[in-house]
Amino acid sequence: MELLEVRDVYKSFQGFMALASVSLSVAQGSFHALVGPNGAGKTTLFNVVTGRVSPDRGQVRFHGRDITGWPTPRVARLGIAISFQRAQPFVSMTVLEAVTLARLGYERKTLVWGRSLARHREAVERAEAALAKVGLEAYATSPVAQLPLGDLKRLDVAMALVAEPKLLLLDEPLAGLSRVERRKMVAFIGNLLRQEGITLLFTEHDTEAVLALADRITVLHQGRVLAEGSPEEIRQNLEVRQAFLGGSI
Amino acid sequence: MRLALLFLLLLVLGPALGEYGLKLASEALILGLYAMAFNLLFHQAGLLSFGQAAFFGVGAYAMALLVSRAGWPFLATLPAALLASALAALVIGFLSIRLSRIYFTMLTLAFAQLLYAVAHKWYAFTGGDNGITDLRPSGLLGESLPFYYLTLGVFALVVGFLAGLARSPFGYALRGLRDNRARAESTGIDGFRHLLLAFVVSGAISGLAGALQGALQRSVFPDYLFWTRSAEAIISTILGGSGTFLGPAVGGAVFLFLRVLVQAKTEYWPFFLGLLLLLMVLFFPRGLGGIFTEAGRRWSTGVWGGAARG
Amino acid sequence: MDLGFLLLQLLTGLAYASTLFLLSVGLSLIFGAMGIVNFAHGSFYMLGAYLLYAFTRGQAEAFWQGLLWVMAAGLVIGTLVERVLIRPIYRRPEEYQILLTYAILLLLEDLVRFLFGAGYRSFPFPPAFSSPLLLLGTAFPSYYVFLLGLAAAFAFLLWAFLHRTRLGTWVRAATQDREMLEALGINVPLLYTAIFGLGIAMAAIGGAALLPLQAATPGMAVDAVINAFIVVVIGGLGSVWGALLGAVLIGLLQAFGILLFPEMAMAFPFALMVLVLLLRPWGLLGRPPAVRT
Repeated sequence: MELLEVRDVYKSFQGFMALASVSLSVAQGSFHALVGPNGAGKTTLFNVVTGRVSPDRGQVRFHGRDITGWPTPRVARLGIAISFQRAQPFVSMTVLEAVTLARLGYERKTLVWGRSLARHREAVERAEAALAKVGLEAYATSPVAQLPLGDLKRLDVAMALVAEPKLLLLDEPLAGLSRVERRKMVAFIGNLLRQEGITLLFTEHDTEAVLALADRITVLHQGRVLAEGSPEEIRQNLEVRQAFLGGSI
Repeated sequence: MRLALLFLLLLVLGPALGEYGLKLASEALILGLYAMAFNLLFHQAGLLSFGQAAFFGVGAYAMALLVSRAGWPFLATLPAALLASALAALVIGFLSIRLSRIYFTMLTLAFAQLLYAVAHKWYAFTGGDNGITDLRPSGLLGESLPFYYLTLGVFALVVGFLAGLARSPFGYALRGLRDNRARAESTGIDGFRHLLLAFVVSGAISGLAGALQGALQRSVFPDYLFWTRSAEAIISTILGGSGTFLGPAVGGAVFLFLRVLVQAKTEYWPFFLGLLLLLMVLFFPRGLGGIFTEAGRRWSTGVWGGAARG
Repeated sequence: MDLGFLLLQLLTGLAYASTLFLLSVGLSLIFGAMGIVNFAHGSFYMLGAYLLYAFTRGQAEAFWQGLLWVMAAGLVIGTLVERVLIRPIYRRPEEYQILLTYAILLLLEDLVRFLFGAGYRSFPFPPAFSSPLLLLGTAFPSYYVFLLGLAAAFAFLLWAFLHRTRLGTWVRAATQDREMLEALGINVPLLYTAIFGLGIAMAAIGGAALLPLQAATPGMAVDAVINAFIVVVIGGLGSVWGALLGAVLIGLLQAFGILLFPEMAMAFPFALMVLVLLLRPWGLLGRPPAVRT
């Protein structure tokens, strides 16, 4: 069953066509990659799915439900979690506080001020569990501001995990990491998400990682879908090769 | 807790101060309240409001009108002032918060000036330029010492409330929105609602401060709504440091002290104020709290008692 | 209500709009190109008025020279302020920029009060425009013609500058994409100084031009900056024509508003701004942003 469906979406900004007739479907339990050069529209597509941007035309459906144009908090509560490219979440807090806040945000309990954050036991426990899953439990009381990039990305994933997502969107999860760190991250993401049964839609430039992780790949070029298929199919696709000047893929 | 010690100190200090000292101390506490209300928006929520005078003034006028026209006892007007300014904040906030930062700041200034102009011109209702005078809190509160204790009590309650708020999920949500709004909203936090609530709370506290000030000065004038009144909250906060919990309150006390000193010598206090603000912004953006960093850090961790430094 | 009277109100509104345009277009450019909200913008408007008074010592004959001096002074002061005070805070968070210009506002207000006293300073019409004109049986100050002409001239000059000169193209580019400018190798700091100086000079001229119509007082700075902001919001950031349109709308609103609802007149521009902000936050002639904030 298709968990996420993007149907014929168009989006332009002041005359610049960012997305044109883009369609995409992500099967439940799969890892779907979105690739393309910078400016191809990957981030815009993510923004459309998460509600940061409203498409001019087209639909977004989640679990069969039309969520086109829904605002971000509402989309989040449906079970779509997103981790950002510039992974800079709440720098004024500690790791545990950030994840606990993410949990309470999901539970819609952030308009209360009766108890302190620390006294929301259940949320804190879930946060601790999520941190354990990403391997950051030792850093619970560290300030977020002190974490190195790789750990920040894990924190971001933990913050997404506490919201019990059905679909996780990762925007360039490997950006800024060294080769060794990348391999670790790919293994980490793969294992964790399969374990949790979370569907993944991600963007990446690193072709090795994409081929290793993805079940299905959609190639975007200048706002349009250039090709879609399994990693094998894409690798052999001439059009794709041409678009990228025979270089990477 | 260190906060409790502070209040105990201020409590016993009361009888030791003379008439003038009590008035000054009361005014310092009121300004502290006002500045902390501003800082709730500025530091926690990341909103710079230039129109806090609107709520300060609404609270003051609410109190003044109820006491002088409807004969209410002073204490009873305090909740009314809270409510009136909270309502004003709800309306103004609803229109202003949806806008990005600079527009927000400008709109709050514009609203406050509008209210000032209304208070100035609506002679029948507000007494216009003549203001509402001869306000004397009934009974015991007309005396300086009991009034000081009342102000201190209100201050303690509000500070306790703000401390609790900062440690609560709401406080964290505000800081999350300030740190990275998109990220916070993607966890399900509705930015607009949270910021609006913070704005209303801040406005309510400002109104309370305004009501107390009106009682202290025995009169309320349109200048309670004038933009320089908004500047007082801002400068107190910058002076004391927005990063420390009680920084704005300390800044308020220092500000008051400076004003008394300067106004004794010259009438060009706004110039001095502008100069002070200029220097602070250029060279000491962290305020006194930042200058005495070590003491500031120790002070704030003590006050927080373990929760994150805001 | 006769036609002549309406015509008078119309012209009054347009005359006021002319000075408002001069005041606001600088704010719009500075904000649009540099991203700096100049809270002190109205203070330079005020300064322009006072400087005219000072340069001419209240003598109407010296009006033209005075105006030129004010223009020069505005350029110099704007450049100095930008260099000394604004430049250090470019990279700082917005709040500090706002607070800094707010501090300048406080300083200038009291400076003016110190130099000229708190009372009103008025100025007569210059001799060339001292006699009224007659149209449709109503007399109106011929000075209005000068103001309209001044605003039109500046609007045209600005347009020509922005669209026909290289420097102007850079200024326009700055309002759209600041990072690109550095990549193109343009001396951005110098450009900023020029923009700021120009904006301040125009504000000063606006204030000076207003003086024969409306006496100067230290309190005019805050009201001016709020009005300028209203104009910029309505017209759209970084848009010269937007500033013109906004100024005309506000000018007319004020002129006719006073007729119909004298007590509420001051609230009208304000209400219009709120309306624009709710329905079309990027202004009538502005550009909408990309991502929902």
